[in-house]
Amino acid sequence: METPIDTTAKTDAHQHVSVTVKVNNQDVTLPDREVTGLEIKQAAISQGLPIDVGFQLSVKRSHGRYEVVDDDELIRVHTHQEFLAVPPDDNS
Amino acid sequence: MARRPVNPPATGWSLTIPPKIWDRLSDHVLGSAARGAVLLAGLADGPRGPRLLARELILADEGRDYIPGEFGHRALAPTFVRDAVIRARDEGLAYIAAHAHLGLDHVGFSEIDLASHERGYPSLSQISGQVVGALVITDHAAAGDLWLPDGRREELAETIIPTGNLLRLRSQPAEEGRPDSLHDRQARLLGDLGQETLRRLRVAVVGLGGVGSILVEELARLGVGELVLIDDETVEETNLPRLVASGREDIGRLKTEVAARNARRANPDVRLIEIARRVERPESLEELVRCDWIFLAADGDAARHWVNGTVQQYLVPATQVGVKVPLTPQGDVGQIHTATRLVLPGSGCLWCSRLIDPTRLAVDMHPAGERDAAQYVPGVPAPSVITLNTLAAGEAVNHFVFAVVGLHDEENDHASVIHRPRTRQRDLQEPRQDPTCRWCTSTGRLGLGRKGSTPF
Ligand SMILES: [Zn+2]
Ligand SMILES: [Zn+2]
Repeated sequence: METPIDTTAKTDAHQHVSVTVKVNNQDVTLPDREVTGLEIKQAAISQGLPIDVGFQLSVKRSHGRYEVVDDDELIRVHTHQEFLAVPPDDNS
Repeated sequence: MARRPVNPPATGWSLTIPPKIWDRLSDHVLGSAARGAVLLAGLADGPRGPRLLARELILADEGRDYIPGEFGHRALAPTFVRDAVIRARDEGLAYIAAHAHLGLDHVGFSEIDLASHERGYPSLSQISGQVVGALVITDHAAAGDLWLPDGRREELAETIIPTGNLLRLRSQPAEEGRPDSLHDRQARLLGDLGQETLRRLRVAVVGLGGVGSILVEELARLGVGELVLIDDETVEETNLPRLVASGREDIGRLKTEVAARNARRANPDVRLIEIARRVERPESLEELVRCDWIFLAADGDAARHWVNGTVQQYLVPATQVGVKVPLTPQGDVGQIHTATRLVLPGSGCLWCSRLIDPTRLAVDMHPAGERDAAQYVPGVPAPSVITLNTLAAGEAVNHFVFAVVGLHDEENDHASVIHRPRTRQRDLQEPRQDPTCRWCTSTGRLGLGRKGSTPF
């Protein structure tokens, strides 16, 4: 659920509202509608997901395909949007 | 090539890989350039623990999918991992990343391998909701690290490849078996570990008539530990000349009862499951899918269809044994043949070989009374002679014993044997496979395990 817009923040350039998305099937609440890939991973980590910032993040697009989101890429998110964060599978 | 160690069946999680998938996997990861891959696998309950059933192989292309690692020497690229784990999620399958190590009879994960699992597998498990894990192989050994959806972590006890020799790979060779004085003479050929292998196996015999009674006698005397006996018929007078160790007093008794008595006499320690039902009944199938090997010695297209389905969906190898005596309406004898057909998962099946007739299958699935009414020609008993049955049954059990203790010369020889006793010929027949078969390919039921419907 989106938080109701705080009327006192109406003068801001854009409104800071929290948005809940899915990362690896888990709910993750983001502090803003516009976030970077890195910020999504940081939010997920702080909310207990077993990932680290070195994971590769992808967003699910409307056609069902996943696209990689870079750490410094700013994206506009919406409620229930789905992300995956996976590491490379290193071996030796 | 050095002979692989003989490893008796182990208790715990196992991974079964169909021979064709194993060949592609080992070519890819054991070749001169070490590369990576992911297996997608179904799940089933097995005789000694949960079974992963490899159904599809996704090869990582060098350079794009398999790249220099962040921490390790090499890594599966994150996009490759993501796409594979999405497929595992969408299809409800396990994700098993595979790579190879140098070495022969021993293998284990490195510190870097394990650190990578600890870093990544909890999240892959959250994404897919299925088992995720890794497999590391050499030509003679395999080790696996599995992460279960409930958070538990398990080691793979064994990796099974049901090829010409039924390979059981472990992280290190099994310790020498305990000598068994009863089977001393045969263990001189099969080895103590080979004898121990037989003792731990669970083998089904479907059809306990002329051929099936010989199969049960031989399997029990060999020391196979557990037999599942399936037949819904009772003994008739005309069966007695071909039913091993039967007597007049057995007329009217269940064939399962007679076979069980005989098996117990051959080996008092044998564990027996008697199912006096047709093979397609749920009680029969439930036992069948938890076997290590199936002998199919029943006439009828229904039995062929259900055993074939079990082989492909649950990756349980089978041998179909049959005898054909063609007679003209005038009574002339045609070319008699006996067939011992190996049915291996993913390598062609009884549908691909045109050995199941859809019309006869439909008739065979009706209740007994309607079955007879549906036959155009009134049933005339087919000729049947114990010596012909013996020829086919001996071939079948011998193949099985050599396979499970690794005595076949040619691992990739999956041919069936056709005997023509009138001309004294013995021919080998290669299995055939339709590339889009609904049963024996990755586009069909192969390796789906309990995710696919049963009855099939
Ligand atoms: Zn390794
Ligand atoms: Zn087929």
